[in-house]
Amino acid sequence: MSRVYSIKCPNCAAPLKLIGGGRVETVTCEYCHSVIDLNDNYKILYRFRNVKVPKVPFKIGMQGKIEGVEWTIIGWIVYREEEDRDSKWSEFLLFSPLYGYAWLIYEDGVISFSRRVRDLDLRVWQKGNKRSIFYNETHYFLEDGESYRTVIDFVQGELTWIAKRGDKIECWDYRADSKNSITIEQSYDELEVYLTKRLNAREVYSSFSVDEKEQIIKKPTAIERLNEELETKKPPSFYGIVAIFIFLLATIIYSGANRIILSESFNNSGTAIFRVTSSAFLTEIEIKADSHKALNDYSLTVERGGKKIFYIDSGKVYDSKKRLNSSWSNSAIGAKIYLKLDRGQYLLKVRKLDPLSTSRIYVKIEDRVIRLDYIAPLFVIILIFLIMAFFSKRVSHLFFIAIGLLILWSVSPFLFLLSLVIFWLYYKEDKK
Amino acid sequence: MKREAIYKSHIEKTINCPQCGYPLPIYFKWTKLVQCPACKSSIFLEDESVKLIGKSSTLSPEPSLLTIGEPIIIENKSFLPLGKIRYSYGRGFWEEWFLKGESNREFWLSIDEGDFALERPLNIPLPFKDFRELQVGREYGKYIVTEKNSAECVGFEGELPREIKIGEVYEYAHLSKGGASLVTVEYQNGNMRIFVGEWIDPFKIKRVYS
Repeated sequence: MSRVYSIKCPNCAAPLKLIGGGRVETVTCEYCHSVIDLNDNYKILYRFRNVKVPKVPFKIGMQGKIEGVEWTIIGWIVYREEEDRDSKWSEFLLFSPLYGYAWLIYEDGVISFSRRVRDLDLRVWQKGNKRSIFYNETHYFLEDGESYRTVIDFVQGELTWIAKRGDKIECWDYRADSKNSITIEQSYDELEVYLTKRLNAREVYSSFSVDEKEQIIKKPTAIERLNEELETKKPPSFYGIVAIFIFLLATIIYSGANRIILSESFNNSGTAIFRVTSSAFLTEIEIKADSHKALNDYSLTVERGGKKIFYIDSGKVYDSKKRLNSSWSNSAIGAKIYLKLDRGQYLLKVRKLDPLSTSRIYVKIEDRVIRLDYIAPLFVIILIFLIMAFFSKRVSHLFFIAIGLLILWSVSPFLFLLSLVIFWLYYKEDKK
Repeated sequence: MKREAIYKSHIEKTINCPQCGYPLPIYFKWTKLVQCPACKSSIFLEDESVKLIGKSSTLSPEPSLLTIGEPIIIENKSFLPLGKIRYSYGRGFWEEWFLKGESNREFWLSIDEGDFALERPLNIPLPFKDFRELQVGREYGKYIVTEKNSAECVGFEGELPREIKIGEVYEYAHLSKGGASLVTVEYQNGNMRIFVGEWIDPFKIKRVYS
């Protein structure tokens, strides 16, 4: 804590107002770009030469509110990536007498607020694989899978350390979602952690009274908009998933309501009439025999009003429109057939293909059938998703993981189970 | 057992300022030093007696998240700020706030331009014998020394659990064993006082009566 005071630049005599508190070590004159040491009798440490001042919407001395706290811009650093000279961004040092120091980061119309945090255990991070970190109940994943180095290009105003052009910092950027990230910065003598949050540019400009002509706002891409929607509020798709969950739950509860509408055994060709009472569900035809030969000796036809709806024997399967892929296997002693039949009366025709055979088959038909082997995994996935979403602040990643798992399930249940196990192992390891 | 919120804590005793007679409620059982808000006299409390030890200067008002007598909550625990000591380090200063915690425990909240550390006095074994041998950046057992410096006490307000002398300089060191953990060792006249705690996020400090 300290008071505001003014000095004259020892090189060009320009008046310099110092507002940044007792931690400030240097001030860089905005006129002659001399870096002045405040702890050593205002000695000029060095001068930035051939300086091109970048055009940005913020200026030193501006005041505004972020996160409910009044901040003053006291310093400015322009960084660039070591590998890419054109990739530049500005970091403005903020000062609040109550909350100390923080950073306002500006890059091509994107504005973020960053402040140092001390409660991330860096010793654990240093020993780990550095791919992800877990902080405040949130997972952050390393962007681009590796660290990068930044270089100081330009300095103005007050800073809490002596910064020189060309100073390098190694950074690890970890992202939780489109707005929240953590950066771990390693300079030659310090390792620091910064929590960064992307801000609404319009609100920041308004709060810092930035002239409308100076305001640059980056239009979010479609993916950024979608991410933002997912993160800031539960998206319509979330409620869609809840609706599907309720539907599946109701379906599972109702699945006990299936009804046997025909149960007969045949030892010769014959017919039977059955009535389907609801078209909202499936009709299950179960055929059983004592041996695979007995099963292969028969064919089944379902007709309605003299029109063939379905036919099956050991070699072929037809529905009303086309031949389907294959019938039961030669070694099968039973088969279950699920048909989507309209409500009404049907005729079942059983034909014995080998007249000399003495075998017998049993036919059972149930209507109002729900196939739980399809619904149950979906139900479990959505249940897991909803539980995780309930305990997590952010659902976007979970949402995409759940969708991914659903797709995998539709491709291959084995792949689905494998990815579930891998995901679980990774999650457990990561949480450590 | 249901915890009693600190802001409902009672006054331990009330004394009268020996200089001006102003009634001074004492909130902490082991308070040693109190400043009379009316005449700025420093009063030393010993057993049942009170002793006037001089007049202290008024601290310049500075913005702070804390106010004496206004309870705060940090991560669901309540604290009552009762006093503060201001230390100078040349171009600036920082403040050590004495907080009464739940169950009448002593806590100290160090506030230095955005760096907030909450600690309490605790005698723990330290892996060094002589404070003077400590070097910044060196590891001692599981601790690494992150800061070593000296500070001058420039004033105080409210009530404090120990006697301090204005203008006195003492040495201190910060030790860390990773993360937000912090051990502060104060050294004066060959004696060490140990405080154990952690760095806290100032955004987590909430006033009870905002």
